[in-house]
Amino acid sequence: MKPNLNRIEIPYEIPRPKPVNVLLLEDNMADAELVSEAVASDDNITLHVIDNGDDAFDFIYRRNTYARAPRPDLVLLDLNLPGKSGREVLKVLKAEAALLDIPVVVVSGAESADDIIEAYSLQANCFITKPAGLEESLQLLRSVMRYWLHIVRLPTPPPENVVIVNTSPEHRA
Amino acid sequence: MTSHKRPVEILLVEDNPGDVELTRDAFADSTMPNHIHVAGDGVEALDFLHRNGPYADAPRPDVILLDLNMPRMDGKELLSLIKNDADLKAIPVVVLSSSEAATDIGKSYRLHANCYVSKPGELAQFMRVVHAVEDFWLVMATLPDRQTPRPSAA
Repeated sequence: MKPNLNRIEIPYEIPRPKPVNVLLLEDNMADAELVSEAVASDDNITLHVIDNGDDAFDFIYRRNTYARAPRPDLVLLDLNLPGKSGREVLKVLKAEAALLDIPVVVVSGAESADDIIEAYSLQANCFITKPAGLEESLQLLRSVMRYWLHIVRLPTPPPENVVIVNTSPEHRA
Repeated sequence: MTSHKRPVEILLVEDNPGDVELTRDAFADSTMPNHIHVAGDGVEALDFLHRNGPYADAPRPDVILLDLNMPRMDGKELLSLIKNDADLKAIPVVVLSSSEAATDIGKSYRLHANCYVSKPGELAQFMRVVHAVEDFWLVMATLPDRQTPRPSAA
């Protein structure tokens, strides 16, 4: 029996950031397009797409080209990101005191059971396996976004004058 | 989504019997077979997770639903213990709380709650929210799959 992936009903409007800044770390442009389409109907979402790990770190630490980047409210992370691997990005996101509360949704093609356990052990908030079909992928992404943006309460960001200090040894500029 | 070869094992940590019944009802509707195990407070939950005493044969939960406000052990304390335990930290913990306080939300995420969901007071909305939680974690997300073997008597 094929489950209906669109079952998530939004019971009522929960308080949420305006706009919600979603950081998508994805190097496959077709997959990035799908996410873009999945959030298109929600005009309260700003989607930031980054396709490699080095830029991802610049965005997260607000340096170089991304000095003015907003703090993400939600991160969608493809584990197979070039540059620094998706796993490295996940590790840093969940180790930095100023960032570790940001929910990270790991998206990946089918991974081994051990890889999935490892992602959760690194404190990924959830793991989504990309389905094979286009329509299925779009439906799944829409429902995933609906869950994280309309059911789940996202953490409130710290006040704007808080500076994120890069405390991670591998990434000292 | 997870291809479940066996029922999904869920640990519900909740002291309100009414909420327990409603949650059971919502999960009974799922397309994914599941078992709900209930712990009335954090101490019982830890016994379940560590397979102490009467829980020697307890399965490893695939996902934990956690109410923050409970007797004997504050939900945040249990959350912290779970997420700092090498054996348990990979289990997704869904905080289900009637509190909408930003401080509770923030603290839960900093303690590595996988997500924080507010429990609406109104019944129909409560059921929709619990259905959404069930749909997301049992159907859409891929859960970590590790049923650890029971430790042999040493």
